Amino acid sequence: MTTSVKTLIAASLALGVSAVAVAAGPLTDRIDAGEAIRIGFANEIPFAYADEDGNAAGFVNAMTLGILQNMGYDNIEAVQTEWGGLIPGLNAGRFDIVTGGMNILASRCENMAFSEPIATIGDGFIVAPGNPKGLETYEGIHEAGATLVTGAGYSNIEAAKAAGMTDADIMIVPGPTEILAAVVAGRADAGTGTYFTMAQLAASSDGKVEVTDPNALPEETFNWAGIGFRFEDQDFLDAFNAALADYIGSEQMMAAVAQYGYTADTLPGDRSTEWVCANR
Amino acid sequence: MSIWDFLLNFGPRLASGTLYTVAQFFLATIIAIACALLAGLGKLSGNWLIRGISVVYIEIFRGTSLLVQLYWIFFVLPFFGVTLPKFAAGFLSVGLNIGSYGAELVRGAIQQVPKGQWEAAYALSMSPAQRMRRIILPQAFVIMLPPWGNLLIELLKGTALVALISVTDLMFEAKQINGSTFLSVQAFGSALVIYYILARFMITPFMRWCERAMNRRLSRA
Repeated sequence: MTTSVKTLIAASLALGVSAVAVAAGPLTDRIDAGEAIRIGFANEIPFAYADEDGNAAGFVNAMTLGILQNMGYDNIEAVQTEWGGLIPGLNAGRFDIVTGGMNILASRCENMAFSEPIATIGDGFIVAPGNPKGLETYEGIHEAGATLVTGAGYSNIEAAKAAGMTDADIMIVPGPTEILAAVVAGRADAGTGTYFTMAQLAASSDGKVEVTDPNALPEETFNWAGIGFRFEDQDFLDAFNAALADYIGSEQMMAAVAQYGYTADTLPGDRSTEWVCANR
Repeated sequence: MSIWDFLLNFGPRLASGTLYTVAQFFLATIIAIACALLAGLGKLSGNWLIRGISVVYIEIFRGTSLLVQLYWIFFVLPFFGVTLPKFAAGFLSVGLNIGSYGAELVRGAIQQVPKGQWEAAYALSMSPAQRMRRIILPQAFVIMLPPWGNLLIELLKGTALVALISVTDLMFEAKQINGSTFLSVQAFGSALVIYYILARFMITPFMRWCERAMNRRLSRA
């Protein structure tokens, strides 16, 4: 056979295989088999966390459950794990949807398919009461030579490095509980995460730490959060995005997320995931 | 919050976590003992294939950290097609890891049995299987019991790591409670005490009872 015919056959086989692959991802197979949709999250209050009874709480969980309900699915199982294990666990098939409240970053987009943005959030810092070192921005922390503590796999690590900090200046701990403990114990001068999380930590710390003003930080540090899916579940993700477009900003949603501090300012606006993946 | 209020509020969660820990402990112990016996005896075998497999198993599982093995079995094996549920992944990793240490204990204990016993069994025309089962292993068992007691306590502490793969054991519950209430002293203090109680009042007396029973049977009591 000539090269061009072989190429044609190979190309049509590849096209056929890829069409079949897109047709039904592992999540759709699970649903057809009657198994529960597993949502994976860590302990990020108020994004997604487990409440006292072990149920899925937080606004990302509330939105995901609302959208899945609108799509007609109510067999949902909550899996709580460590933040750093969310993307690996998704890809290893330990759960099907990551609702941790992950910011859409280029590095994460390479490993996980994000839904369209569900919220826009800035960063925040917790510091000792009175902010003795006057730390308000990543550049300020870098210039003051202060120690910054943040969580493993957080988007803040990249933001800090973009401001010039090195690995030696950034202390990494598993999550918000440890970030608070580090700042309270004086092991770090500032703790960082999303503004939501830091404000919640400051509010529950009985005055041991205070949160800085989020508007002091530049536009580039504002992030968009998305819900994560495996690349193979693109079919489910397309349906999810369609339902999300109807759900976002609706009364049903705003009622569900109000208790977590989600306001009209947090709505993601018009940014698409494609834009955010390229610009974060 | 005082420790009593804390225990009243969160006692049921801690108890449920403790049950998971105890279940993981027993299942991991069974795996550890089985692997240790097989690998320990295998390492003494004349057959090069059996000896090779035992040595490879011992070297890999003793030479790498338990946490890395746990993550590997949980996150990486699914890419090779082996997806274990998290509970099974937990006790398997801990069991395999401790089993590799136990294999060396088994091997050392068998080699410690006086050479005279082997010769006497040979003189009595016992088959190798009979010799191992009736003469050598019972004596080796008594020799290896004290270090096994240590190893089982290590195993109990190793099961705490399964909290990192979302198994809802004692450590997981303690971290959960700490994560939502920030009562670190009470949460982790209770977990500490519970692990100590399990080690000191469950494992240690049982091992001592085993040693006494075996010594009695060997008329060394």
